[in-house]
Amino acid sequence: MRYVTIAFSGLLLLGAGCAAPGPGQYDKIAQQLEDINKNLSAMTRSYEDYNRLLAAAEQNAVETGTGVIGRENLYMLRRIRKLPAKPTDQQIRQYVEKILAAAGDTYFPENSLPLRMLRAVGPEHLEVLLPFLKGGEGALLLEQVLPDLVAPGDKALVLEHLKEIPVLAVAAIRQGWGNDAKNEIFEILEDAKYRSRLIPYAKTLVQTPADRERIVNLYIQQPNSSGLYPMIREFPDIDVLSINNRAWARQKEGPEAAQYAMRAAETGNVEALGYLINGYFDRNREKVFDGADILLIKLTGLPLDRKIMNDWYQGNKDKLYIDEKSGRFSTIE
Amino acid sequence: MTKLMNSAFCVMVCVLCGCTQQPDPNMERTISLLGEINGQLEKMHCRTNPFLDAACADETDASYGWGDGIDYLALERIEPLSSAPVGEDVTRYLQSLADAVRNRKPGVSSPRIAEMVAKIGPGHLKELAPFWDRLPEAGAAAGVFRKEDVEEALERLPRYPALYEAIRHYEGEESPRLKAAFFRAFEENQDDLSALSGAMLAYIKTPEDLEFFADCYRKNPAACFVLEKIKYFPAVDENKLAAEAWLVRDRDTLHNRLRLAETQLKLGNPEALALVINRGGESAAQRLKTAECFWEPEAARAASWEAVVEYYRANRELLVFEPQRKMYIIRNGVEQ
Repeated sequence: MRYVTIAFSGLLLLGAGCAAPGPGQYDKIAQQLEDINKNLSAMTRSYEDYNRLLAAAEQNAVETGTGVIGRENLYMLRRIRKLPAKPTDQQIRQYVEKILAAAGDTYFPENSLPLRMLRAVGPEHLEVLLPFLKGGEGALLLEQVLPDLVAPGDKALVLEHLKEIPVLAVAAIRQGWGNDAKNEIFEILEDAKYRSRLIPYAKTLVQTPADRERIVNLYIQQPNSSGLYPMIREFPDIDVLSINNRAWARQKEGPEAAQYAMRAAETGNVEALGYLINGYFDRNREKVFDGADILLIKLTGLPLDRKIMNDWYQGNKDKLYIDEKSGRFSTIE
Repeated sequence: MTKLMNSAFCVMVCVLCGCTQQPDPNMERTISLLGEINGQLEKMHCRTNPFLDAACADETDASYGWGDGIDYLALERIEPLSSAPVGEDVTRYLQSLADAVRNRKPGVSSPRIAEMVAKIGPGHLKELAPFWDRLPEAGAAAGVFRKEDVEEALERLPRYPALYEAIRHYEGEESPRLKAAFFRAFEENQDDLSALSGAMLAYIKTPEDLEFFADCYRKNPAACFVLEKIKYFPAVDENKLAAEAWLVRDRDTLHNRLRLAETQLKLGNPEALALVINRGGESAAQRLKTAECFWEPEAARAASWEAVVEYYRANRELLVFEPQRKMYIIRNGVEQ
């Protein structure tokens, strides 16, 4: 009877509800705490973002490589809302307009925030973007990322607008359509504005002797063409000596004279060698002559000393010739 | 007694079963309150975050997207120095500055950093020298490096070659004592001499100078760049010097052997090539230089490091070095 009583007491306790947290409750609490943590992290992050922005804005303006962007514009840029997964044309237009308005008409460093934001538009929307590029002004930023926003299906659109929007030439070449508009692209290359952007891709356009001649002439005649030289060096059957001498004669007053001088000197142009010696030891211009130190030693065999080189050059310039075997200047005795 | 124990056990089981089956109302209330807190936090976040749903919301770049890599927030948080800071304070301060610019892009220079470095004032070269490579603005920081600091800087140059430009500014390139310190750096510093590579050729005036640097290439792993610089001096036999260095450093560490091997890839040293292929390839520059050693194929150059390694292993027996092209070609292959 006593045991029955004890057992009954137990049941009574049970009935009274000795409540304790169940596993489900622990899970719920854990979940809630996790959410609180997430929310707090998000808040901390946005707070830090905000402060970081203000800290950057403390600089008053941020250098972008070619220009500056003011603090108010930075703030505008940061507040632009992201595009929805499937944006309408209108949404894309507004998004791009806002970025261009905030960032201004300037170039930005590769992979900087405004460029990444524009790349987020993605391909398949070229038609919406083209109006921004017509007229040739106000959309330098968009020009920078345009090749990334062209899709394989845009071929007709790109080729149709090539003359009006020359920056499309880079996208055309990258998509493999360069030969469908070779002449137009050559003309864009010959026009100075987009030359530096096209030079890295020019090789894919050059197939015939006439193409090669066009490139060589461009290199010799036009400023800011020195980047074509590595490609020209690979051309079969070229007279590199003649090209270097003609190019040097034409470009020695130009902005890339140092580059042309180095190449001409390497193939034996004595005047170019003199220019190189003078220029390299001029402390104000030494950066322009990047790489000239090793070349001067290669061409003269002398120590890199201003007086020694100058004396040697002045004393021998009328009888210098390049010895093909050693690649070094010697004197005709 | 046994029956008593059994009964007690029954009760315990019952109670325990009850405890696990009955939800605790207090806990339920706690859960509910936590849910409310969460709701409030979410609302607060929406109201206070000006960048919510911004196009750049996922950006985590410390540079905050301006492309310079400087962490401006970290700069803001650096505690100002006292008016007369002592050594430890200065070191801590400079360390914080260096941390804030840890990810900055090459060539980025900031007047703000120069201003902040200037706050340490004069007389702290001891603390500043270890940071000079990371805070090159120190050279432009007003009043930090003075003519009277040159003597001390010359002493420190071998260990901290980044000081070179600051010393040159006062001493001039031709200064004999700068030249002496420069040479001493090449003798003593086996870690990193890259800050001196640009100026090195200006210090080769005599055959003895040339031999000194050639010997550095043989013996000092930090002087790997020397060969490329001096190879055109008529007195230098590039291949001979490379072979000598390879032999002298036969027992060096893998890291140092790889540094050396990288400079000999285009000289046709098959051991250097094998070493880089089998044990190296960690840096992008090393991978590129290796890929450029092979005439064939566009594929190897454009594709992954694995493709380069595979190409090498598949053709190892047939590869021969062609000095004219400075490349490995396949014997009797399409290249010929």
